[in-house]
Amino acid sequence: MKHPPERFGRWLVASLGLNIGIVFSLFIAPSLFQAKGATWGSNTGGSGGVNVRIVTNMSGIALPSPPVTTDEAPSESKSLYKSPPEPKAKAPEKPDPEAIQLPSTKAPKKPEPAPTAKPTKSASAATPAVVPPNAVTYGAAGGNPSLRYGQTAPGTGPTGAEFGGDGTFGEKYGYYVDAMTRTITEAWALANGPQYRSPRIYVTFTIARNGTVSNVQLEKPTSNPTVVERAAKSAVERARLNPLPSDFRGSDVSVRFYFDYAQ
Amino acid sequence: MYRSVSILTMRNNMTRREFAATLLLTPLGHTLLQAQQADIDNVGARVGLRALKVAVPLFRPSATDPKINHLADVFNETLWNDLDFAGGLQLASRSFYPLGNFVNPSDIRPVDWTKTGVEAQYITFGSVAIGTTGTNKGAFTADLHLLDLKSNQEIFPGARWGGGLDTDAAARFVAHHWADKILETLGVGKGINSTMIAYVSVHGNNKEISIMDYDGNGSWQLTAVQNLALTPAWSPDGVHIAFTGNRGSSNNIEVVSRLDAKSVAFPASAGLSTTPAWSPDGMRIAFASSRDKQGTNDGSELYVSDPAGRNATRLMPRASSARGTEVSPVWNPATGRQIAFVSDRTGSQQIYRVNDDGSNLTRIVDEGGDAENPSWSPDGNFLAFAWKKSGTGRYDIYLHDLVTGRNSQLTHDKDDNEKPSWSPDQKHIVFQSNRTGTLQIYSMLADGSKVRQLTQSGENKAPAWSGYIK
Amino acid sequence: MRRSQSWQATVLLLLLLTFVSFACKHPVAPPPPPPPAAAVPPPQPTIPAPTITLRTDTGATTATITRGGSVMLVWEARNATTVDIQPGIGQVPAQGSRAVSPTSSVTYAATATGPGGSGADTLRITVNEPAPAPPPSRAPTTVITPPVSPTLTIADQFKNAMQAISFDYDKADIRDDQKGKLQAAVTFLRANANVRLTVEGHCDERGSEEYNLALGDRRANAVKQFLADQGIAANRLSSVSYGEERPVCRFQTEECFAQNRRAAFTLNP
Repeated sequence: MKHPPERFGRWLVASLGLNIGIVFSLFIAPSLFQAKGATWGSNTGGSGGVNVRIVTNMSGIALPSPPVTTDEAPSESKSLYKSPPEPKAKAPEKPDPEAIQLPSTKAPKKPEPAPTAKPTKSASAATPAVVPPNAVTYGAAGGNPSLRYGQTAPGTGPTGAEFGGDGTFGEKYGYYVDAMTRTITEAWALANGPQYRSPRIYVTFTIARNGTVSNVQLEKPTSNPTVVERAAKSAVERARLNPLPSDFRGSDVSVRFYFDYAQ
Repeated sequence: MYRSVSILTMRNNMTRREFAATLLLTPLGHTLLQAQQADIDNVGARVGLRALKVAVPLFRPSATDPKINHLADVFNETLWNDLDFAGGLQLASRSFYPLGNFVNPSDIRPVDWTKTGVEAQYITFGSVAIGTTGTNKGAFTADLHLLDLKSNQEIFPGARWGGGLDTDAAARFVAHHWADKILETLGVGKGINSTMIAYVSVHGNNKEISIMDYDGNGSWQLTAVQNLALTPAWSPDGVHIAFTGNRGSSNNIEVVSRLDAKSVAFPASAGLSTTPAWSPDGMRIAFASSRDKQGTNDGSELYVSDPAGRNATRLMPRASSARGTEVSPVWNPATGRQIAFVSDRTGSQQIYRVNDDGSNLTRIVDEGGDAENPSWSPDGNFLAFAWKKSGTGRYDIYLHDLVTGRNSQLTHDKDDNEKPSWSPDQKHIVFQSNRTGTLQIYSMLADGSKVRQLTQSGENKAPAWSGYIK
Repeated sequence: MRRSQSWQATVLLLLLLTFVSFACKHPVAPPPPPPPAAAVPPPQPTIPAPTITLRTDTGATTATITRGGSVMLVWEARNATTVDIQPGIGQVPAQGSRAVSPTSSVTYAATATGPGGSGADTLRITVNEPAPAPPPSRAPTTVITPPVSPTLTIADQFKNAMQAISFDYDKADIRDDQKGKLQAAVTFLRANANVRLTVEGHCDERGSEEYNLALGDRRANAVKQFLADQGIAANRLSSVSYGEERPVCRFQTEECFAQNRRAAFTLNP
């Protein structure tokens, strides 16, 4: 069909302008419409990593802050109510090869901070240096009982250590994310999850205030999940998670969790 | 915006108007995706998870009197051992701790605890005292803190817990519960520090059932049959213990409460009744009895009854000509639908499994020798048992993986290791061994490491690990 | 063109609004202010309730004495601040012992109280009347009585006549070489019709404790059956198993094992 020649230049300008307008309103919207649940990603700073692409993380935009309550405890405990005067925990430290560097909160952030994914030494420190005479060496004659206790065999997977900005669920409740990761990993290891070879599998789910896990889904939808995918999903379903932190104000927390396999 | 460069290569079968619309849709779609961001995103599990490391400096006594100093020692030792033995975390060695007293969160400088040498992620600290007012007056009391070193925040506000009395047992009680709380909060799982072990202790000619804490402390004698009390088994709620009682004239099953030490015997029946085992829902007891074998030269067979021994029915109907002895039934704790047991129908003791309706009898261990004392893991996937393989002349503890069928050896001692029993967290196994010359009770991690002797004096055997105690 | 332009603009505006509405997680009215959530310290664990055991010094829960005799009470309380024993004793420390000489049958009750609650235990003492005093004897005469020949008590005779029966490893069959001993037992039991007995089955230490309880039961039953077949009334016979728990020797030798594989007889009172 033959079209009369059009001037698309005007269209281009209009669409560019609207694009810019859309992107700009992305930054305005959160202050107009407060999210009901927590909109924080997480930063474990621990064994798992977090990549938060939340674009609300711009300096100058007020984030919802927890109420400051008078602390009536007899000791001057550094509870979660008091916002630290300055980020003491983020003082520069000697770089620890196993530690995940925390981002500095002093400078305004770019929305997508470059993750410094340091190769994490595998946790060989966890296995006892002296093997007691009764210990079973994995793989020795008799077979592997395949029971792990967080004391680990040397790892082969990537660290998955990415991290995001501040003001996140994980930064405030890093211990909770740590514990959740540990519990799910344990359930996965006990069911022999790590034995498979597979690309990374993502599972999404929701944690209720009382720690109940629901709506466990494979991120990549499939009508015919593989054995590995089913094992990953069931590791999450079987994990018994702690209730959410008591001073967390949301009704639930959504999680996007991955399983890394040896390749 | 980034698609604009493709304008030049645009095809003619798309109007420029339509193209402009797609330009708008792209950032729209992108933003839609972003708005669905998870609260906790991109954390994951992988082989080689970094071990959890906790610093545990000494909790400080708040006064300088010998009583609270001693209780502080008891508390500190118990807390350290509980966390050390849990098998899910590492304790940072005290050699590298900074000097000082760590009583309040303001005493903690995270950099001192996260640097090389210590490298802890969490720290627990506080102080202990004997209370002077209120409900804790006269009681051992501890102020307990747990701090996340990465964020330098307390995980919850400090707790003040009292132990009720000013005894060693009270200090241990608080330490056990605090260790459990730490393990649970950090994702290691429900702690076993308040669980108990029932066992048989020898008193001269007699054997009685005794109870001790999971770490061997606080032992006391439960039964007073003044003859033989053997084969203790816990009820799932941790309140009752069923055992085989011999008061001189019969072997019968008795059930005793650990709260008031009162025992109730099963109804009398002919022959012997022995080796009781509770189903995981607490509604049934399986046991061995020779009540229907009187007058034959044949041994006991398995029965299932209610918890008072009534309505006992034979588990497997057997032709009267079949010979053999069946003992030591144990239930699958995950399903309550299967029972493993020992039978000598092939001429030697071997381990079998059968459904709770008597169907589907299967032999489990089929490599010969002498297999006994099965104990089923809480998740239903493993049987621990004692095995005297042909030619070895001694028993060792093995694990049988019910999923793969493989056996693995846990103890490698030159003497007899028998009677394994699982902890409710499935990370530990308690067993008896005569490696020191007398029969004593030991615990170990379920991979055979960290063997710990629990009883020292006299002779002690046949341990049974309780479930979680409420 | 203008019409399509304004139509396009409307569509764009709609799209913009749709997008903006998605920026909220839950497209509803702004949420009400959240309830002030307080972080709470973990709750104080429940203090365990006191428990107490009240026994005699031999570890029994009952005792029988004749009037004038005494019983040693031994108690041990856990998680308790006060222990009280009634009747007649009162407050005592958490652990201790006390001799009592009740003049009539009594049930002692020990109560332990503590921060976790209270617990109790009881012990029953049965007091029997002493035998009546013998009548005063007359002054002895100078009659010379002949010496009395010693007699064996029935218990001694029993021990003599009823010898333990030996068994082969992992077997409960009566061996031919044991039948002589069994016949002697039968003869004694026929001659002493009041004697009631228990057959005890024992094993050597090989095999599990549980399996040996069952094996000892088989051995005791086998002997009991033999005696019954020889005409000894069933109500005189009972059997019990001691498994490997009461060995007569504890060496790891074949001789010791053989000694332990036995069925032994005990006289019932």
